[in-house]
Amino acid sequence: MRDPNPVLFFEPKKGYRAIKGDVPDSEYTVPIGPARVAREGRDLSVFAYGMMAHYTALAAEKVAREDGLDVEVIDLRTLLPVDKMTILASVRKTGKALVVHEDNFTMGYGAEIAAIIADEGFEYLDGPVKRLAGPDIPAMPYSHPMQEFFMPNPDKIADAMRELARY
Amino acid sequence: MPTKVIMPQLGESVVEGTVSRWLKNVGDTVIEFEPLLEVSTDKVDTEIPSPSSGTLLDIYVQAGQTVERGVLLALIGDAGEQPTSSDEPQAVAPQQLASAQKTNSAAHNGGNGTYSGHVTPVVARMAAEHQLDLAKIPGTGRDGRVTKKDVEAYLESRPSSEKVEPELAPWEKPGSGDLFKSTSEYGAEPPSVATKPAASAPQRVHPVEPIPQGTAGELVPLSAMRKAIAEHMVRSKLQTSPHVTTVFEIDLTNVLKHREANKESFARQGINLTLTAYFAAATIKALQANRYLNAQWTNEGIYLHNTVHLGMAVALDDGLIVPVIKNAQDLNLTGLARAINDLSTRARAKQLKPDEVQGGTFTISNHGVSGSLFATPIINQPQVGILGVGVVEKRVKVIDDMIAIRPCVYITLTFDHRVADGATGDAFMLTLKDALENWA
Repeated sequence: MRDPNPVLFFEPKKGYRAIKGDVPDSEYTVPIGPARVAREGRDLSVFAYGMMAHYTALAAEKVAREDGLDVEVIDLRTLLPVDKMTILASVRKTGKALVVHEDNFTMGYGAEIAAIIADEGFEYLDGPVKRLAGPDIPAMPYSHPMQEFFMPNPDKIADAMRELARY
Repeated sequence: MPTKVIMPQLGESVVEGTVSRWLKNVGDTVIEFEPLLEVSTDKVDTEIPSPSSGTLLDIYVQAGQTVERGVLLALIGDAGEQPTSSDEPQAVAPQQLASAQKTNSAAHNGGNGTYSGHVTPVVARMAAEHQLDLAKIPGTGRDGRVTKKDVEAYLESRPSSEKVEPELAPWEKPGSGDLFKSTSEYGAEPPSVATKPAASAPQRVHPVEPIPQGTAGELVPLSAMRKAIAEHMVRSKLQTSPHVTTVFEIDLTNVLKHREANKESFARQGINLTLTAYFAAATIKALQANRYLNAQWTNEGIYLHNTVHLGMAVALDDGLIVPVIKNAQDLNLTGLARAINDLSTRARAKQLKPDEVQGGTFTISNHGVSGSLFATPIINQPQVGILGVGVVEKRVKVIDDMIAIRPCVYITLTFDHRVADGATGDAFMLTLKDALENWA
């Protein structure tokens, strides 16, 4: 961690072996601060991080295949300080925003992103800022079927994307 | 896109302004915030800074014309840019438009092609920018809502005939009609028109006074301020208040002593301690003791003000102006002196805001500074009284059967006899005299 200050790094265990991809052969670093545009699109913007960023990218491919929707996926990567510039630039482009986060719906991190968009991107909005998150029940259930019920997944995210695109 | 220069609202309840002078000509280069034109309202002249840098492309309201706030005055843009230029997309043949719309609606079966009336922020903004009628745009969103994409598609494929002459909003166009007529045109109306009042036309206060013929002389055009003063004076003295004046001689020995002792310490605070501050302080005291002079006549009754908003007449090169010290009753001598310094400096620099010359409840006219012994100023409507302060000079006085030399001043109170009688006016003056003569 090449930062003089303390940094909290969250590593989703569920991502182990579930996420596969190429890494550069030589040494490389990921900057703290900037968000990553995981997929460019024109129809709507989806903001997520960690495992949900991965699921969102999968969902974006799914709706592109099945519905012809062109979804922009922003992997926030750093939650604090959050990259407002990238978030607002994306909203300005698409006019629609969906925030996905893996936690209870109420008082979750997604509300912060939704608030930033409503506050600073209001004039560019062409629809309500939507959130997709776990239900407001104690998290996280141990039972696998209950976990499925609780967690957003690519199918749930794809449904939320379609609904927002129709608005 | 050229930047629009709009007649600003120069203060609360100020709805129109007269362009008194353009400081730039068409074709001149202007820099943002550089003074562009002078605007005068009822009483205040002010400079309007340029809203952007560029070339002054066109002027729509010429000097002398009075227009309402929000009216387009001029355009600023790049040199060579056409004032009417637009950066709209290329035209597409109407047939293509029709087919594009059909496929569009077919692709989204939620759209029924009618406008549901619900508009999102971005759509509202785009519609305003391009002056679109949203009802004409087929909506493909939920319940037929017009989406951002629908607007984009519409702009792409709009028939050329529609975009040539977009319906301009009222503030986009130079004003026309009676409201926008230059005030100078009113005076120039031929007598036959002026003497035959039309039912719809508002009646003018001024009778038509012809320019003298056969004598040598020169005609000085009326400034907005001169017109406002003339109108106000006629209204106050000839049409509204029966004026009556009472004169008191006041000994300023104690005031001058106090001023001499405190001048230095005020100067250290950056305040020029003038006699006007003492007159103001004494006036406020007298107004609080005699509320009928801090009042206003209404048809229902006499309205007594709880606060004193003190007007101070300031002479200018081309007229006079009365800035108002708001809530003067809350200020001590220091506060009053500071406020008087500030307002008179800015009045002479023509930097007063219109709000600062409105709402006075009583006025002081210090004509003594120009040598006047005493005078009977005209009441500033809708106030009840005006205090006139003459020149301060040493006079021979008889005190306790001895001859003494004392600094004295004649102070006059001119008041509205509808509201107050001689005894009320004299009671006010006695309070004032007592405050000044026994200043400690």
